Amino acid sequence: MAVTIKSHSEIELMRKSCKLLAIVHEEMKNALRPGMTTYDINMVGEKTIKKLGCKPNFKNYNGFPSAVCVSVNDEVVHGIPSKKHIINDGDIVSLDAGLIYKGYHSDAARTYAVGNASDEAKKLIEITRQCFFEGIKYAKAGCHLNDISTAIGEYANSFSYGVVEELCGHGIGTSLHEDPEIPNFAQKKKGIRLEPGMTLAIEPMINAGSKEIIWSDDGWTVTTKDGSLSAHYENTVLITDGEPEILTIDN
Amino acid sequence: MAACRIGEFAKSKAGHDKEQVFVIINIENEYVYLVDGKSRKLESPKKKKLKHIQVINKIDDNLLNKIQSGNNITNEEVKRAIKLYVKNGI
Repeated sequence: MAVTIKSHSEIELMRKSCKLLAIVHEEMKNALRPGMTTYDINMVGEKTIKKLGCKPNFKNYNGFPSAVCVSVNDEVVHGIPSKKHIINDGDIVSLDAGLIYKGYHSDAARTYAVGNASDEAKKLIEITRQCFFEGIKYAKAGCHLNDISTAIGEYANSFSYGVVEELCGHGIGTSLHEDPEIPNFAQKKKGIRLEPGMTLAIEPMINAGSKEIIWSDDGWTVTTKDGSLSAHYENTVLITDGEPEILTIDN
Repeated sequence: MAACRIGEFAKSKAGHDKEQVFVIINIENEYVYLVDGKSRKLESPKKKKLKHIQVINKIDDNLLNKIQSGNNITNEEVKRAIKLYVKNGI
């Protein structure tokens, strides 16, 4: 497994790439409202990425047709934006986007409750977000990859939520997906030892019901098998000698 | 964007092996390496672009755990897992 350690200059480029992506997510968050289509919110994201002088890295990635994955309710990830899919009051919507800045990729996802969503939906969103923060307590030099995975999985399971196993987080840098795989549940092996300079996209995908998922016929959209809601939260993180730096949150 | 994991089933979407079921044993950027235990053994996996496959399901937990933990699997185990999937759709 070849996990890249970024140089100082590469880290600066990653910081910039991620900071710009944070702006994109802020624009999408402000624009999201009931009545718009999943295509509309995707276009907010795509236009913002291009306005910032960057390239959307999801578009045409392995054939994905759009800049933003828009996944609604029981859609886990990789929802393809559509002019026919209207976002309704009470829906939960996951927006997953990335961009390339001077050859360096960033990747982040957020799930939002649109309008008057149920308390259960809001709780799922918040717990999924917290799963990420539980995981990154171990995103430090000297810890092992499985420490992050175990923390995420145990936290989600403590609420009887299902942790998606077939998809995972990943290294990121000059490619969108690099080594290592970062599962969201405990593995049998401890995994690589984390070192300063690693840049990782950590992304819990949590279902309100069972962990089982179905891959759709469109070749991309993943949904929960039991029809329960699913939430997704992701940031690109830099491993340092001290606390991890969350690059895609604009402080 | 979430990444697929090594050890999952995939179906070929293009090429002379279209519709054939494989197990993913490696992923490198836009490429996956596929085996079926007979025409494509572990010693000589098929290299394919990710966009030319569709991930269809996870395989049985024991085999999946072995692959994802980096433990050795055999061509027989791969063949058996694919046969079971094709027969039962698990």
